[in-house]
Amino acid sequence: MRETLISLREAIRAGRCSSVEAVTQALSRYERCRDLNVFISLDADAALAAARAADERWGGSLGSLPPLHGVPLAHKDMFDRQRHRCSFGSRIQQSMTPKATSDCVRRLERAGSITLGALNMSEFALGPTGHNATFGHCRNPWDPRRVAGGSSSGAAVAVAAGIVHGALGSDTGGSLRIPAACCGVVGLKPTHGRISARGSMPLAPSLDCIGPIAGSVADCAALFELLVSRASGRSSPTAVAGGRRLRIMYPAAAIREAASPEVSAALEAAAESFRAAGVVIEERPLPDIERMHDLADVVQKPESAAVHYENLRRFRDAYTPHVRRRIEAGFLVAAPAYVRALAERASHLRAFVENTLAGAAALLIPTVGCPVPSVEETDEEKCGSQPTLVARMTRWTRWLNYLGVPALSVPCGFDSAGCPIGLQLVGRPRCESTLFDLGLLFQERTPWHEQQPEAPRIVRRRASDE
Amino acid sequence: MSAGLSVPPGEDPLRSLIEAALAEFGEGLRAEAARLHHAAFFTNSHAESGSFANAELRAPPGAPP
Repeated sequence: MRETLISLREAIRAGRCSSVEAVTQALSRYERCRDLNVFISLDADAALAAARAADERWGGSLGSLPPLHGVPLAHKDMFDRQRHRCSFGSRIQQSMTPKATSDCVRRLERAGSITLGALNMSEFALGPTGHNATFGHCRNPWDPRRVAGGSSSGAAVAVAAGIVHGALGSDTGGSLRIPAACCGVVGLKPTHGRISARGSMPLAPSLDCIGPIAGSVADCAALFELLVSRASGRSSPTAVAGGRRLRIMYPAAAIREAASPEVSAALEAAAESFRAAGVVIEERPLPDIERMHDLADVVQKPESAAVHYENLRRFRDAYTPHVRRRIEAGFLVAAPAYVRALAERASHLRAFVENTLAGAAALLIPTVGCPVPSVEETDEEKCGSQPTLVARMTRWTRWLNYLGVPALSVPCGFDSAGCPIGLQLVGRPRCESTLFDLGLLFQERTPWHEQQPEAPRIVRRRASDE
Repeated sequence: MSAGLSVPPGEDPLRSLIEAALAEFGEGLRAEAARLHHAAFFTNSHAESGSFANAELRAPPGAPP
């Protein structure tokens, strides 16, 4: 049985495992898969010192212990931590030392967690592969020849490899859900604005979301509840709510048309699992997601250009060229185009809630519709800019950042190459608890979240790769 | 699109950035900007969904007198 955040938390609280043991185990798991390039900076000594202090505070008095007492976590390197370097995945920022800790990390640390270090990410969170020319590419633990997915690559890999059981990532166009799907773990993009972004790196503030990545839906929900001010309580998962059977919208035809056969088959099997659990699956066409994908781009590009304006003026040459190109495209977007794209947002959201989700708890679609690409075929430093690849990997995720609605990525199978496939449950604004209930219902009936890549396999694959 | 800026060349850091970007990425960057421009202006889905209720002047039927 795979260890979880909740089981580790309970073991520490009950005294079956000390925090020092938990941190030592995390560091030893990291040592076994160093080639995956998970961390940008690791604070092993500080984490062990914090663990020793946590163990001294334990004393067996469970009532006074915070909910994550002594549990090791690690987060994408874009969240400020007081007196710790924060690189944003860029050599431009790597000497920056924040004066204060970001709201989201502070919440988790106040809940008793111990931060092991800062995790690898795409430069300035731009790019769905997880590549990083400065700190090295982060690799998929299921097959190190394949991408981890990005931009929250290190967060998904750290959880998939079992180094930590929870991590924070960010999502502006799929940056949290895509790596979660590629690595076979759970990722939540909450409703826009639901988790405070204060002290985290901005990319495009109208689209940016902070969210948790974890090994299971239950772990992800536990982290989410610590990250928000008022989480609505979850009941035990059931296919019936208020006396009515839950309903999921499932656009089967659109998925068959646009996703790979293996992804389509995995989604079909997932729909069947929900049916078997008593959920009503209703086929209904998708809205115009291509248009919303494009409008998200119209919003993101100028916002990113504005965010990076000062840095580009001073350090333009220090950006990786393909990252610089993506940002600078925003300087060419006319202000009226940006305003129109934002103005159209409310009506698309209304149409999504009133039409696409009418009478339903969620929409079921893939997270990534194509097979997990290889590191080699996606290396933009060697192969040049790949707008088609970016569009292909973000096709099912980016339009949801435009709408601002919550989306939960859950593992739902493996392709013939042995890489994970993920599904998305998409809900109404602020209805994350509904998505967690549905995700729990799914994971009660499926084994996918219990699979974990074996460390020896990582080493063997890596060795054969060289 | 940078041609629309009214500040003299060499005195505007934004213009300098745009010129550097165009010099490096050329037509590809222009094509991307054109695609985004098209996405914002050359579809009529907003007319069908009535999205611009308070963000766009309602066009009168026919030509103005």
